[in-house]
Amino acid sequence: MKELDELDQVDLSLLDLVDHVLNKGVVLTGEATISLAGVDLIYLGLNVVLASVSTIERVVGERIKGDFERKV
Amino acid sequence: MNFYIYSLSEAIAVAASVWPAGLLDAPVETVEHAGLSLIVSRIERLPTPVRWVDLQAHDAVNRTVLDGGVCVPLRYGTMLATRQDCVELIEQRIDYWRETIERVRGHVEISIKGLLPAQAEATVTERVPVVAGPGAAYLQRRRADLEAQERLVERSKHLAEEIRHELGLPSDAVIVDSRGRLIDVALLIRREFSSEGVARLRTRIETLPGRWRVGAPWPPYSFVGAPTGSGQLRPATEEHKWGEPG
Repeated sequence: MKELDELDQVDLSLLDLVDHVLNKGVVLTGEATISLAGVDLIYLGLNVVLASVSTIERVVGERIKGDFERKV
Repeated sequence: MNFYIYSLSEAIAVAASVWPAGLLDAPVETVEHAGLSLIVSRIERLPTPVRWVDLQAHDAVNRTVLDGGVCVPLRYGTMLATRQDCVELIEQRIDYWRETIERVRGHVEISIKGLLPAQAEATVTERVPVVAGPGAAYLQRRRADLEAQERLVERSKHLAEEIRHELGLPSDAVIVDSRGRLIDVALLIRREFSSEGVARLRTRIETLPGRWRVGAPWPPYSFVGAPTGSGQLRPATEEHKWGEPG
Protein backbone atom coordinates (compact mmCIF):
# COMPACT_ATOMS: atom_id res chain seq x y z
CA MET A 1 0.00 0.00 0.00
CA LYS A 2 2.94 2.29 0.58
CA GLU A 3 3.67 2.33 -3.15
CA LEU A 4 0.05 3.18 -3.97
CA ASP A 5 0.09 5.96 -1.40
CA GLU A 6 3.05 7.46 -3.18
CA LEU A 7 1.10 7.77 -6.43
CA ASP A 8 -0.19 11.19 -7.22
CA GLN A 9 -3.50 11.44 -5.38
CA VAL A 10 -4.78 13.85 -8.01
CA ASP A 11 -4.17 11.25 -10.72
CA LEU A 12 -6.02 8.59 -8.74
CA SER A 13 -8.92 10.94 -8.11
CA LEU A 14 -9.17 11.75 -11.80
CA LEU A 15 -9.18 8.04 -12.63
CA ASP A 16 -12.03 7.59 -10.17
CA LEU A 17 -13.83 10.48 -11.84
CA VAL A 18 -13.58 8.90 -15.27
CA ASP A 19 -14.59 5.52 -13.89
CA HIS A 20 -17.76 6.86 -12.27
CA VAL A 21 -18.94 9.67 -14.53
CA LEU A 22 -18.07 8.17 -17.90
CA ASN A 23 -18.40 4.46 -17.16
CA LYS A 24 -21.34 4.28 -14.74
CA GLY A 25 -24.59 6.06 -13.97
CA VAL A 26 -27.97 5.89 -15.64
CA VAL A 27 -27.90 5.30 -19.37
CA LEU A 28 -31.06 5.91 -21.29
CA THR A 29 -31.92 3.12 -23.66
CA GLY A 30 -34.54 2.52 -26.26
CA GLU A 31 -35.44 3.81 -29.65
CA ALA A 32 -36.79 7.05 -28.25
CA THR A 33 -33.40 8.52 -27.64
CA ILE A 34 -31.45 7.18 -30.54
CA SER A 35 -32.92 8.85 -33.58
CA LEU A 36 -31.30 11.90 -35.04
CA ALA A 37 -31.68 12.37 -38.76
CA GLY A 38 -31.95 8.63 -39.03
CA VAL A 39 -28.65 8.11 -37.23
CA ASP A 40 -28.36 6.41 -33.89
CA LEU A 41 -27.92 9.19 -31.31
CA ILE A 42 -26.61 6.88 -28.66
CA TYR A 43 -24.19 5.63 -31.23
CA LEU A 44 -23.18 9.22 -31.86
CA GLY A 45 -23.10 9.94 -28.15
CA LEU A 46 -20.88 6.99 -27.50
CA ASN A 47 -18.61 8.08 -30.26
CA VAL A 48 -18.30 11.49 -28.74
CA VAL A 49 -17.54 10.02 -25.35
CA LEU A 50 -15.24 7.30 -26.69
CA ALA A 51 -13.27 9.84 -28.65
CA SER A 52 -12.94 11.88 -25.54
CA VAL A 53 -11.89 8.89 -23.46
CA SER A 54 -9.22 8.18 -26.03
CA THR A 55 -8.01 11.72 -25.68
CA ILE A 56 -7.99 11.41 -21.92
CA GLU A 57 -6.04 8.17 -22.13
CA ARG A 58 -3.53 9.67 -24.49
CA VAL A 59 -2.94 12.70 -22.32
CA VAL A 60 -3.03 11.17 -18.87
CA GLY A 61 -3.42 7.42 -18.96
CA GLU A 62 0.03 6.52 -20.22
CA ARG A 63 1.67 8.35 -17.35
CA ILE A 64 -0.65 6.93 -14.72
CA LYS A 65 -0.39 3.40 -16.09
CA GLY A 66 3.35 3.66 -16.12
CA ASP A 67 3.43 4.86 -12.53
CA PHE A 68 1.06 2.14 -11.41
CA GLU A 69 2.97 -0.66 -13.09
CA ARG A 70 6.28 0.56 -11.75
CA LYS A 71 4.90 0.74 -8.23
CA VAL A 72 3.41 -2.71 -8.16
CA MET B 1 -30.74 25.39 -26.32
CA ASN B 2 -30.81 21.77 -25.27
CA PHE B 3 -31.27 20.27 -21.84
CA TYR B 4 -28.20 18.56 -20.43
CA ILE B 5 -29.17 16.19 -17.64
CA TYR B 6 -27.01 15.50 -14.60
CA SER B 7 -29.27 13.41 -12.40
CA LEU B 8 -32.71 12.96 -10.93
CA SER B 9 -33.91 13.52 -7.40
CA GLU B 10 -37.03 14.26 -5.43
CA ALA B 11 -38.32 17.74 -6.15
CA ILE B 12 -38.53 18.67 -2.50
CA ALA B 13 -34.96 17.53 -1.86
CA VAL B 14 -33.43 19.90 -4.41
CA ALA B 15 -35.85 22.80 -4.18
CA ALA B 16 -33.50 24.88 -2.03
CA SER B 17 -30.18 23.65 -3.36
CA VAL B 18 -27.41 26.15 -3.98
CA TRP B 19 -25.90 24.97 -7.21
CA PRO B 20 -22.29 25.13 -8.36
CA ALA B 21 -21.53 26.19 -11.92
CA GLY B 22 -22.72 23.54 -14.32
CA LEU B 23 -21.28 22.18 -17.53
CA LEU B 24 -19.67 24.96 -19.57
CA ASP B 25 -20.45 27.25 -16.61
CA ALA B 26 -24.14 27.07 -17.45
CA PRO B 27 -26.59 27.68 -14.61
CA VAL B 28 -28.15 24.61 -13.04
CA GLU B 29 -31.91 24.37 -12.82
CA THR B 30 -34.56 21.73 -12.36
CA VAL B 31 -37.40 20.31 -14.41
CA GLU B 32 -40.09 19.08 -12.07
CA HIS B 33 -42.81 16.53 -12.67
CA ALA B 34 -44.80 14.22 -10.40
CA GLY B 35 -42.75 15.14 -7.35
CA LEU B 36 -39.46 14.33 -9.09
CA SER B 37 -36.92 16.70 -10.60
CA LEU B 38 -34.35 16.32 -13.31
CA ILE B 39 -31.31 18.45 -12.62
CA VAL B 40 -30.32 20.14 -15.85
CA SER B 41 -28.41 22.87 -17.59
CA ARG B 42 -29.28 24.45 -20.87
CA ILE B 43 -26.44 24.28 -23.32
CA GLU B 44 -26.18 24.21 -27.08
CA ARG B 45 -23.81 21.31 -27.46
CA LEU B 46 -21.58 18.98 -25.53
CA PRO B 47 -17.93 20.01 -25.35
CA THR B 48 -15.74 17.82 -27.53
CA PRO B 49 -13.41 16.37 -26.66
CA VAL B 50 -14.45 15.94 -23.06
CA ARG B 51 -12.22 17.80 -20.63
CA TRP B 52 -11.50 17.07 -17.02
CA VAL B 53 -13.40 20.22 -16.02
CA ASP B 54 -16.49 18.90 -17.81
CA LEU B 55 -16.48 15.65 -15.86
CA GLN B 56 -15.78 17.55 -12.67
CA ALA B 57 -18.68 19.91 -13.35
CA HIS B 58 -21.02 16.96 -13.89
CA ASP B 59 -19.88 15.35 -10.67
CA ALA B 60 -19.95 18.57 -8.66
CA VAL B 61 -23.62 19.11 -9.52
CA ASN B 62 -24.45 15.53 -8.57
CA ARG B 63 -22.66 15.87 -5.25
CA THR B 64 -24.82 18.89 -4.52
CA VAL B 65 -27.87 16.79 -5.38
CA LEU B 66 -26.59 14.09 -3.03
CA ASP B 67 -26.33 16.65 -0.23
CA GLY B 68 -30.07 17.05 -0.56
CA GLY B 69 -30.54 13.43 0.40
CA VAL B 70 -30.97 11.36 -2.73
CA CYS B 71 -29.26 11.37 -6.10
CA VAL B 72 -29.86 9.14 -9.11
CA PRO B 73 -26.88 10.16 -11.23
CA LEU B 74 -26.89 9.93 -15.00
CA ARG B 75 -23.82 9.10 -16.97
CA TYR B 76 -22.09 12.06 -18.55
CA GLY B 77 -23.50 13.04 -21.91
CA THR B 78 -27.32 12.91 -21.81
CA MET B 79 -29.11 15.73 -23.59
CA LEU B 80 -32.73 16.18 -24.62
CA ALA B 81 -34.25 18.75 -26.93
CA THR B 82 -36.99 20.40 -24.87
CA ARG B 83 -38.38 20.81 -21.41
CA GLN B 84 -41.36 18.69 -22.44
CA ASP B 85 -38.99 15.85 -23.34
CA CYS B 86 -37.55 16.07 -19.84
CA VAL B 87 -41.03 15.86 -18.38
CA GLU B 88 -41.75 12.84 -20.55
CA LEU B 89 -38.49 11.23 -19.48
CA ILE B 90 -39.70 11.38 -15.91
CA GLU B 91 -43.23 10.24 -16.75
CA GLN B 92 -42.33 7.36 -19.09
CA ARG B 93 -39.96 5.76 -16.59
CA ILE B 94 -41.54 6.90 -13.37
CA ASP B 95 -41.71 3.47 -11.79
CA TYR B 96 -38.01 2.97 -12.38
CA TRP B 97 -37.13 6.39 -10.97
CA ARG B 98 -39.16 5.83 -7.82
CA GLU B 99 -37.76 2.34 -7.25
CA THR B 100 -34.22 3.57 -7.74
CA ILE B 101 -34.73 6.51 -5.41
CA GLU B 102 -35.86 4.15 -2.67
CA ARG B 103 -32.91 1.88 -3.32
CA VAL B 104 -30.28 4.61 -3.03
CA ARG B 105 -31.99 7.02 -0.63
CA GLY B 106 -29.56 8.12 2.08
CA HIS B 107 -26.74 6.03 0.60
CA VAL B 108 -23.37 6.76 -0.94
CA GLU B 109 -21.05 4.60 -2.98
CA ILE B 110 -17.65 3.56 -1.70
CA SER B 111 -15.31 2.04 -4.26
CA ILE B 112 -12.38 -0.22 -3.56
CA LYS B 113 -9.86 -0.94 -6.27
CA GLY B 114 -7.23 -3.64 -6.05
CA LEU B 115 -4.48 -5.30 -8.01
CA LEU B 116 -3.88 -8.94 -7.12
CA PRO B 117 -0.29 -10.19 -7.00
CA ALA B 118 1.23 -11.45 -10.23
CA GLN B 119 1.78 -14.82 -8.56
CA ALA B 120 -1.98 -15.39 -8.70
CA GLU B 121 -1.75 -15.68 -12.48
CA ALA B 122 1.55 -17.47 -12.61
CA THR B 123 0.60 -20.35 -10.32
CA VAL B 124 -1.43 -22.33 -12.81
CA THR B 125 0.55 -21.57 -15.95
CA GLU B 126 3.83 -22.49 -14.30
CA ARG B 127 2.48 -25.93 -13.48
CA VAL B 128 1.52 -26.69 -17.08
CA PRO B 129 4.04 -29.14 -18.54
CA VAL B 130 5.44 -28.44 -21.98
CA VAL B 131 4.06 -30.76 -24.64
CA ALA B 132 5.28 -31.47 -28.14
CA GLY B 133 3.65 -29.71 -31.08
CA PRO B 134 3.03 -25.95 -31.34
CA GLY B 135 -0.73 -26.29 -31.84
CA ALA B 136 -1.30 -28.49 -28.83
CA ALA B 137 1.05 -26.34 -26.77
CA TYR B 138 -0.90 -23.21 -27.71
CA LEU B 139 -4.21 -24.79 -26.79
CA GLN B 140 -2.78 -26.00 -23.51
CA ARG B 141 -1.49 -22.52 -22.64
CA ARG B 142 -4.80 -21.01 -23.65
CA ARG B 143 -6.69 -23.36 -21.39
CA ALA B 144 -4.30 -22.65 -18.54
CA ASP B 145 -4.79 -18.89 -19.04
CA LEU B 146 -8.57 -19.27 -18.97
CA GLU B 147 -8.40 -21.37 -15.83
CA ALA B 148 -6.14 -18.79 -14.20
CA GLN B 149 -8.61 -16.06 -15.15
CA GLU B 150 -11.48 -18.03 -13.65
CA ARG B 151 -9.52 -18.43 -10.44
CA LEU B 152 -8.91 -14.71 -10.30
CA VAL B 153 -12.59 -14.00 -10.78
CA GLU B 154 -13.50 -16.42 -8.00
CA ARG B 155 -10.88 -14.91 -5.74
CA SER B 156 -12.26 -11.43 -6.45
CA LYS B 157 -15.77 -12.54 -5.56
CA HIS B 158 -14.52 -14.20 -2.40
CA LEU B 159 -12.68 -11.08 -1.28
CA ALA B 160 -15.71 -8.91 -2.02
CA GLU B 161 -17.90 -11.31 -0.04
CA GLU B 162 -15.52 -11.07 2.93
CA ILE B 163 -15.77 -7.31 2.81
CA ARG B 164 -19.55 -7.42 2.50
CA HIS B 165 -19.86 -9.66 5.55
CA GLU B 166 -17.48 -7.52 7.54
CA LEU B 167 -19.58 -4.42 6.88
CA GLY B 168 -22.89 -6.24 7.29
CA LEU B 169 -24.18 -5.23 3.86
CA PRO B 170 -26.95 -6.97 1.92
CA SER B 171 -25.93 -8.87 -1.18
CA ASP B 172 -27.34 -6.27 -3.59
CA ALA B 173 -25.19 -3.55 -2.00
CA VAL B 174 -21.99 -4.95 -3.48
CA ILE B 175 -20.97 -5.00 -7.13
CA VAL B 176 -17.75 -6.67 -8.18
CA ASP B 177 -16.01 -6.19 -11.50
CA SER B 178 -12.77 -8.01 -12.11
CA ARG B 179 -10.54 -8.00 -15.18
CA GLY B 180 -7.46 -10.09 -14.84
CA ARG B 181 -5.68 -8.97 -11.71
CA LEU B 182 -7.69 -5.76 -11.40
CA ILE B 183 -10.66 -5.76 -9.02
CA ASP B 184 -13.24 -3.02 -8.66
CA VAL B 185 -15.67 -3.39 -5.76
CA ALA B 186 -18.51 -0.90 -5.34
CA LEU B 187 -20.34 -0.76 -2.02
CA LEU B 188 -23.62 0.99 -1.27
CA ILE B 189 -23.40 2.30 2.28
CA ARG B 190 -25.66 4.40 4.46
CA ARG B 191 -24.30 7.92 4.34
CA GLU B 192 -24.10 8.29 8.12
CA PHE B 193 -21.82 5.24 8.25
CA SER B 194 -19.63 6.16 5.30
CA SER B 195 -16.78 7.60 7.39
CA GLU B 196 -16.74 4.56 9.63
CA GLY B 197 -17.01 2.29 6.60
CA VAL B 198 -14.07 3.95 4.85
CA ALA B 199 -11.95 3.71 8.01
CA ARG B 200 -12.76 0.01 8.46
CA LEU B 201 -12.08 -0.72 4.83
CA ARG B 202 -8.71 1.01 4.93
CA THR B 203 -7.76 -1.18 7.86
CA ARG B 204 -9.13 -4.31 6.19
CA ILE B 205 -7.34 -3.85 2.87
CA GLU B 206 -4.01 -3.88 4.68
CA THR B 207 -4.59 -7.63 5.18
CA LEU B 208 -5.56 -8.39 1.58
CA PRO B 209 -3.08 -9.74 -0.95
CA GLY B 210 -1.85 -7.30 -3.58
CA ARG B 211 -2.34 -3.56 -3.72
CA TRP B 212 -5.64 -1.93 -2.71
CA ARG B 213 -7.05 1.52 -2.22
CA VAL B 214 -10.33 2.85 -0.88
CA GLY B 215 -11.94 5.77 -2.67
CA ALA B 216 -13.88 8.62 -1.12
CA PRO B 217 -17.69 8.45 -1.09
CA TRP B 218 -19.47 9.04 -4.41
CA PRO B 219 -23.03 9.47 -5.59
CA PRO B 220 -24.30 5.93 -6.30
CA TYR B 221 -23.29 5.72 -9.97
CA SER B 222 -22.89 1.92 -9.87
CA PHE B 223 -26.28 1.19 -8.35
CA VAL B 224 -28.73 2.90 -10.66
CA GLY B 225 -28.76 0.65 -13.73
CA ALA B 226 -30.60 1.40 -16.95
CA PRO B 227 -34.27 2.30 -17.02
CA THR B 228 -36.66 0.64 -19.44
CA GLY B 229 -39.56 2.52 -20.87
CA SER B 230 -41.37 3.45 -24.02
CA GLY B 231 -42.37 6.59 -25.78
CA GLN B 232 -40.72 9.16 -27.93
CA LEU B 233 -38.16 11.59 -26.60
CA ARG B 234 -36.45 14.07 -28.82
CA PRO B 235 -32.70 14.26 -28.51
CA ALA B 236 -30.69 17.42 -29.03
CA THR B 237 -32.08 19.16 -32.10
CA GLU B 238 -30.60 18.72 -35.55
CA GLU B 239 -29.76 22.39 -35.85
CA HIS B 240 -27.26 22.05 -33.05
CA LYS B 241 -24.47 19.93 -34.36
CA TRP B 242 -21.93 18.24 -32.14
CA GLY B 243 -18.74 20.24 -31.77
CA GLU B 244 -15.79 19.16 -33.87
CA PRO B 245 -13.33 16.91 -32.06
CA GLY B 246 -10.29 18.77 -30.84
